[in-house]
Amino acid sequence: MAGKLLSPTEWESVIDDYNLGGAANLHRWTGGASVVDLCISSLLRKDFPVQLKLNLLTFLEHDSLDDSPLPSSSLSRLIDALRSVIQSPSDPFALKDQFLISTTAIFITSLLDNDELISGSPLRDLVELFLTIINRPNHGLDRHTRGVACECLRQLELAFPCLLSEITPHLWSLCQSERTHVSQWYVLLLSTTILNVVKLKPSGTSISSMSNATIPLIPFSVPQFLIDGVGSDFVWKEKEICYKELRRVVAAGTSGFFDEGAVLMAALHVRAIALPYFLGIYFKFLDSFQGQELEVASRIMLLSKEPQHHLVFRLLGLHWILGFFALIVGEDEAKKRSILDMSLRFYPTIFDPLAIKALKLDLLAYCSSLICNPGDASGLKGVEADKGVYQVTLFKDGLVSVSAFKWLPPWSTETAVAFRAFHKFLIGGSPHSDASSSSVGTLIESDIFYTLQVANEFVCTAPDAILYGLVGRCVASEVSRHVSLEEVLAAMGWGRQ
Amino acid sequence: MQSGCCIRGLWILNNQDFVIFSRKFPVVERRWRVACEKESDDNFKYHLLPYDSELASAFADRKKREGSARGFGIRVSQSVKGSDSWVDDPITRHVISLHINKEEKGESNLLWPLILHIKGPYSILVLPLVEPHHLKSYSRMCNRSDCGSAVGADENLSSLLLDLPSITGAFIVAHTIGEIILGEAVEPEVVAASSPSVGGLLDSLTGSIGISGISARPKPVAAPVAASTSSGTAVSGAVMSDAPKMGSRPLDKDVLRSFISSAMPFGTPLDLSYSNISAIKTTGFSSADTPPADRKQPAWKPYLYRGKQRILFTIHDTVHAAMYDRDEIPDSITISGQVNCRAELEGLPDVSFPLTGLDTARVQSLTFHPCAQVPEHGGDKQAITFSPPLGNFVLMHYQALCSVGPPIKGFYQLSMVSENEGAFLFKLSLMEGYKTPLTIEFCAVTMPFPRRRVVSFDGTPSIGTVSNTDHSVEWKIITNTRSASGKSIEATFPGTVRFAPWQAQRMPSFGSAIGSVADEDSDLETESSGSMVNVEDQIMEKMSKDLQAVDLEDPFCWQAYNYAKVSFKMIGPSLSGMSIDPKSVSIFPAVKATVEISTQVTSGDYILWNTLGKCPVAATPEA
Repeated sequence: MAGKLLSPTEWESVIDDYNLGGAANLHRWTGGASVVDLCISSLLRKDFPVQLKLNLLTFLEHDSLDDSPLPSSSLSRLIDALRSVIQSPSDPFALKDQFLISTTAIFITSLLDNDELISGSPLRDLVELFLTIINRPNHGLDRHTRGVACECLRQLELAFPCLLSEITPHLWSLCQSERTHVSQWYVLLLSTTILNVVKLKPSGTSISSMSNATIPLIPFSVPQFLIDGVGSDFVWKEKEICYKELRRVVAAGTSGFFDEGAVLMAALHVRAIALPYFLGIYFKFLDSFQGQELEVASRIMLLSKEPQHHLVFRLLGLHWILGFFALIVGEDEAKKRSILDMSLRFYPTIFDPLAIKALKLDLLAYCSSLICNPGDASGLKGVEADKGVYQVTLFKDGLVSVSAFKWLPPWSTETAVAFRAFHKFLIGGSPHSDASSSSVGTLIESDIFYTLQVANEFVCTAPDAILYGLVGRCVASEVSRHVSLEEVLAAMGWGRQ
Repeated sequence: MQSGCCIRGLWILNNQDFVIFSRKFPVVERRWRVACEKESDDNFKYHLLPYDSELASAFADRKKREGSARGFGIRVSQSVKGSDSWVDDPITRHVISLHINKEEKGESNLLWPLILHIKGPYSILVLPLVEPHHLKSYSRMCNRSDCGSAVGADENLSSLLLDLPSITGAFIVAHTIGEIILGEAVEPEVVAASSPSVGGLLDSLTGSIGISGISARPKPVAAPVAASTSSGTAVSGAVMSDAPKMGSRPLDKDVLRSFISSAMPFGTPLDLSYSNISAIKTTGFSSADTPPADRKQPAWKPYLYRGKQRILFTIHDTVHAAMYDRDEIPDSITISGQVNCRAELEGLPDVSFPLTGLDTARVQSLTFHPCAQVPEHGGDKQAITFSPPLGNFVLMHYQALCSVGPPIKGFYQLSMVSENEGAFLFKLSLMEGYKTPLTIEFCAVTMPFPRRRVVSFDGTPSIGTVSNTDHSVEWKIITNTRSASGKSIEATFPGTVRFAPWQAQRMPSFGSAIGSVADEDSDLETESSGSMVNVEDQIMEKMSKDLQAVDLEDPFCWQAYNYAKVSFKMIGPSLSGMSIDPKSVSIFPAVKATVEISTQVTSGDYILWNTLGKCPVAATPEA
């Protein structure tokens, strides 16, 4: 059976079988022959439809995940096939692009599993092919393919850090020349390369200057330190590369660095994407942003209010605020205060989806929990009376948005949200980690608890099942180890009559 | 923290829970494997990504366990330890976990965070790369034996999500794919004075480079300019379910594959602009497409425009209102809006104009397209500068308070005079205090009765016409602009509506939220309650007993209330105050280009609550 050529219909069955159940399903089709070799022969057939070839390429990529790494000979055959497709004037760009991508992916998975292959000729040949493609800046027809080749090189650089370090000056000059929309892809490639140089500081590199390349772009050779496998022990030698120059390149490319995010955003009109990345930067340089916490929190809050965003982004926004508060608050009284000052902004609005209402109630419960300690509330905006009144106001006001639970049937979503909020407000004042048995007293003496008692007028009308639900949550709780259930029920007036 | 978004794999399932498309990204998966091997222990090790059949069966299992494809979201009595709803958070309806069972090995592996996006008949699942400790942390959260996490607890979902920007990226991938497979990836609508609406990117492309074959293709169906809200729910009042609906359109896998190969060739999203990607795939580049001599083309503008130059703006306000006509509850009116733009300009010019129209006191938020730059807090002299892409795009979104009174005010009263008959009265005033050139193009009021069948109605409105369907009565107040230009209108409509006898529907066999069925004696209770004051309370009581739980994505149980929904469209100055003066639009380098601006105001959720019945409310903080 080996070497048997599969027809397009057979290939479709092979791919379907594979997707459904994996490589175990393949044997009856291949008869033990190498899947890669079978694919390569089909990829080179002129009479096979392009769509099938594209499918074959992704199939090969998928297969590389659970198959053993390809031997050097198969990789060489793959490169030969790739080269012939790239050079063919009749093959469409879509096929060329996908072939570049799939080959890179297969190489990365195979080479990483078999270090010895790194020094071999396939990797060198592959990089050289990519460099030939990208070395034609501003050329009209194949500009998109050049972008794809840049991305392939970037992935190789990410998989084998500093692979391209020695040709960085060439990449810099290509970056400066390219003016079509794919210039961003060149910038991305350059920035990844520089990042690796700065991070890993390869000692064997022969870059002496960014503006003067000492070695030609082609022929390419894999840096010796990668072959020697010393990548992780790089030692920076200051003389070998000029800091100033690097800084200049980075400055010139700054717009490019941020384009990575911008490209994504441009497509989406969704600023939501930028926020988590911004928050990432924020956390890394927390000290530099000192004093701007509220502005950051306000901006995230706006995200959750903007109806043009999909619900998920609005929910994420509320989660980020909660996570953000947890991160900055610590023991800092001033920060607690500024968070509490924001509490009015967390009130649910009428058209907020119930999911949003639930999370805004969480935020209010969080604010309520912040002023558990006596004295916290004094001087707070909107807190004329004591902290208990403030907590109760937050609780009552927040709950208005789901107050229909009082008359809706017990299985209504409003009821579920309301009781979830009861629970959060209740345990908010009694942290799970609190091992002290005094939490019994704290809980039952809390004003929130009192409010729940007052709320009995409607709680009593709720069916037992709901109460059991709420109580059931507490039974398993750490809190309940210290709080006698009977005590809670009696205090609530919920004991079964 | 992850520095970017990488996708390990994505799957699309149809409404029979069968995987119809899947894509895995070996380069990203390889990174996950290495990370797992570093952190592996007795309870944690690397597992291969599931095959389609394994994923499909895990998805079906979860659906069974969690009541629906999305799940409960909140912890309910059916929630089991280890499942998503055990975490007790609404976002677990969108960021889900699956337990993959490897039959031969008898072991289960947890896949999280899977982004679930349901679009038409399809469920799209996207798995972003996280770090192993994130997965371990989530796994602990779903197995914690406490009563649900306290806000601010040591290990909580919020802190975990804050650490995972890749989830946001994965959602955008899922949404884009959803639009592509349903053929809904359309550009925002831009209205020109000369023609009702102009085409998209391909039209300007093909128009400028003269490819007649492509430009002859049917134009994409223009999406409504405003991002649609849940208003559909309000009109139909139909039971909303998250179950995927049947669709007739087959999935175009080739289009999807080609998009993925351009947008995220290795699993890392690079450019998700479907209009640009499909233009590049269809049109390609010719040697005549020379890049500009002095500037670099931005990623969002792969093609340059050639031809007659003009720039169009469409300002679109959407008014949302909850009108109560009660002393104790204030009405709430908010406007969300956007400015759409289409710049047919040669080269790579910068366009700028001052943002004078929006009064800073009334503006709640402003967000801009990434091609725009707006100096921070410039006071009233704020100006926006942008380097426009080709095709239609949303230049900015805003949210503002209404600069004038509500366009439609008044009240709606509905009272049940018997079990099957209701008397109603509308007293409305339209455009009170409004002056020309603001004119109302159409205005209609709908009374939805999703749970009752309308048999007939009586009554004549002071203006307009009335019609009914099985489950609604519609009053068309204004149907053409001429009858209503530039003056305020008083409209009243007294009448009665008769329904078919009320039939109790079967109780839901499982409560989708709290999960308890009604008390068995609840019917008895109603019958024995002789103290009921009137027939109205009785019927409402009866009807509310078999209301089904709504999804967490709904604002409240629409069906529990009587209300009228107003829909209208107005032409003229915006209500938000957003305006652009054509004379103040400057283009650099200077070119001769016409500037056209159009403005429209439409209704979003514009609700008149029955003054005599129950209504949902929210507390307004006293700032």
